[in-house]
Amino acid sequence: MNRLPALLIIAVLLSATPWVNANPGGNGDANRDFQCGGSCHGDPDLNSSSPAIFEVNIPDRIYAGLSAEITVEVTSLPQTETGIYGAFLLTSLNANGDIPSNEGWQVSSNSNLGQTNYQEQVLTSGTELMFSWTLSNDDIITTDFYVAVNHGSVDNDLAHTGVSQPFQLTTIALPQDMPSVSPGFEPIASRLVGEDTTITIPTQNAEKVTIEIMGSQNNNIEILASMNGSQVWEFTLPQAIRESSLQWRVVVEGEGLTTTSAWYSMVSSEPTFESSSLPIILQGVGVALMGVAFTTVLHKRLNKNQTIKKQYEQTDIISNEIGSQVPNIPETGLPEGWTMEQWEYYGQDYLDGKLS
Amino acid sequence: MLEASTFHAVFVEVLVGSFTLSGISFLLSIVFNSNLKVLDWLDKGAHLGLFLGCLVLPFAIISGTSSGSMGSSELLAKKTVYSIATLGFSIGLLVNRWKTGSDIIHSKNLLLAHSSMGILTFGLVMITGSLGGKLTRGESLLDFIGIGTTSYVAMPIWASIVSILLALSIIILPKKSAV
Repeated sequence: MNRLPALLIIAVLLSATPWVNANPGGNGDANRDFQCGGSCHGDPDLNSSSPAIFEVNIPDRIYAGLSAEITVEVTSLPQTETGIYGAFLLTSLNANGDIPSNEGWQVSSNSNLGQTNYQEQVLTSGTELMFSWTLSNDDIITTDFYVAVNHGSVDNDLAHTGVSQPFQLTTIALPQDMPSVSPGFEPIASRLVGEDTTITIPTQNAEKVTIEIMGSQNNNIEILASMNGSQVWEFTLPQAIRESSLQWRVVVEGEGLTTTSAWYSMVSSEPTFESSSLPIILQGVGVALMGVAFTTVLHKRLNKNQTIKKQYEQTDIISNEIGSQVPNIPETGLPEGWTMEQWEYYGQDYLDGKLS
Repeated sequence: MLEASTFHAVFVEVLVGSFTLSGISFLLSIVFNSNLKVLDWLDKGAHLGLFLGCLVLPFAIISGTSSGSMGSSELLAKKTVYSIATLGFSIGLLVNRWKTGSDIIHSKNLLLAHSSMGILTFGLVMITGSLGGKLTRGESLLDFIGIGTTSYVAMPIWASIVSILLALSIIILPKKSAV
C-alpha cells in the first residue's frame, strides 16, 4: 500500500525536472571549476566534443608578483543558436579545486574586464574568438594550465566542450632593477563626462612609461607618459563626451626589460544629483519671501519719498502768500531798471520812501 | 486616468499666457510712462495677468513636482526653486500695488521700479518654462543665450531658514519712521 504513493511522488519529481541541456542562455562570468556540460559522462545523446582549436600565447618570462597576460585564440568554432561561448582558465580538469586562485594565481583582469577565470563572449560572425586573462603569482612556482570552452549548437540541443593542451606557467624571481608600476598603485576608476583626467603613476626602475588605451579590434592607442619627479609619471586621459568606459594599462620599460600592468577601467558618467525635497522647497520659500521683502522695502522707500515730497511741496501756498503781500505796482509802472522779483521783495520799501 | 504631467501642461499654458500679458503690460508701462490714461489700462492688465498667474502657479508647481522626482533631478529642483521664487515676487508685487494704490502710476520712479520687478518676474517664468523644455525635450531656446543653464546650487537648510526669518522680519515687523 505504501509503494503506490512513493512511486507517484517519484513520478511527479521526475516529470517536474526541466527538460533542458546545460545553460543555453549562458551562465554568466564567475569563478567556476571545470564543467563539462554533460560531455564528460560519455553519453553521445547528451553531449558532444567541440571542434574548437586553441592557440595559447604566453609571455617569455613571468616575474613573481608582476602581472602577465595570457591570450588564447580559439578557432574553428561552430555556429550556435545563441552565439554564446564560455571559456575557462583552469589548473586541472578535475571539476573541483581547479580555479587558478587554488594554486595562488590571481586573475586581475580578463577580456570582459572582470577578474574571473570563466568568461563568456558572443560570436556574431566568423569562427574565432580571442580570450585573455591577466594574472600574477607572488611565489616562484610552475603550474599546469588548461583552457576549456563550452558552447551549444544549431541543429541539436547538445552541450559541446573543448579543452586545450596543457601549458605551463612558471614564475621567476624579480630582478633587482625590474621596471614596474609601484606595488599598491590604485588608479581612479571613475570621472565625470567632459573632464580631462590627469593620472599620476608611481614606478620603480622605469626609464619610459607608455599608456595603452584599449581600442576596437585590438587596435590600442598609445600615449607617452611624461616624467613628473623621480619615478613619478603623469599622463592625461582626454575627456569623454558622453557616458562611457575605457580600459587602459601601463607599459613600463627600463634596463632592457619591459612589464605590462593589468587593464584598468575608467568609467565616465554624468554628474548625479541627489537631494531630499525639503531643502529644495525651503530654498524656494526663502527666495520667494526675500522677493516679497525686497518688493515691500522698495515700494516703502519710493512711496515714502513721494509722501515726503507731497508733504513738503508748499510752493502754491508760499506763492499765494507771497502773491498776497506783493505791493501794487504804481500806475507809472516798475521803477526804472527793476525786475518783478525785486519789486516783490523791495516794492513796499520803495512806496514807503525808504529807498533813495 | 489622467497623469500629473497632463495637468501640468494645462496649468503651464494658462500660467505662461497670464504672465506674458503681465510682462508685456509692465514693459509698455515703462514706455508710456507719461500717458496716464494708457498707464491706467496697462496697470490693470499687468496686475490682472499677475493675479491669474498667481492663482494657477501653485497648481502648476504641485503637478510639476508630482510628475517627476525633484530629489534626483537637478533640473526639476532648479525649476521648483524658480517657480516658488516667481510666486513670491508676484505676491509681493500684487500686495504692494494694492497697498500703494493708483499712486503707483503717478510716481515715475515707483512705476519704473514696480514695472521692472514685474518684467523680472516674467523673466523668471520664462526661465522656468525653459527648464521644463530642457527636462522633457532635452533642449530649450534659452540654451543658446546661456540663461538658466548653470548648475543648481543647493542652499543648506539653515541658510534657507535664516533667509525665511530675515524676510519675514522685514515684511511683518513695523518700522519706525526715520523722518
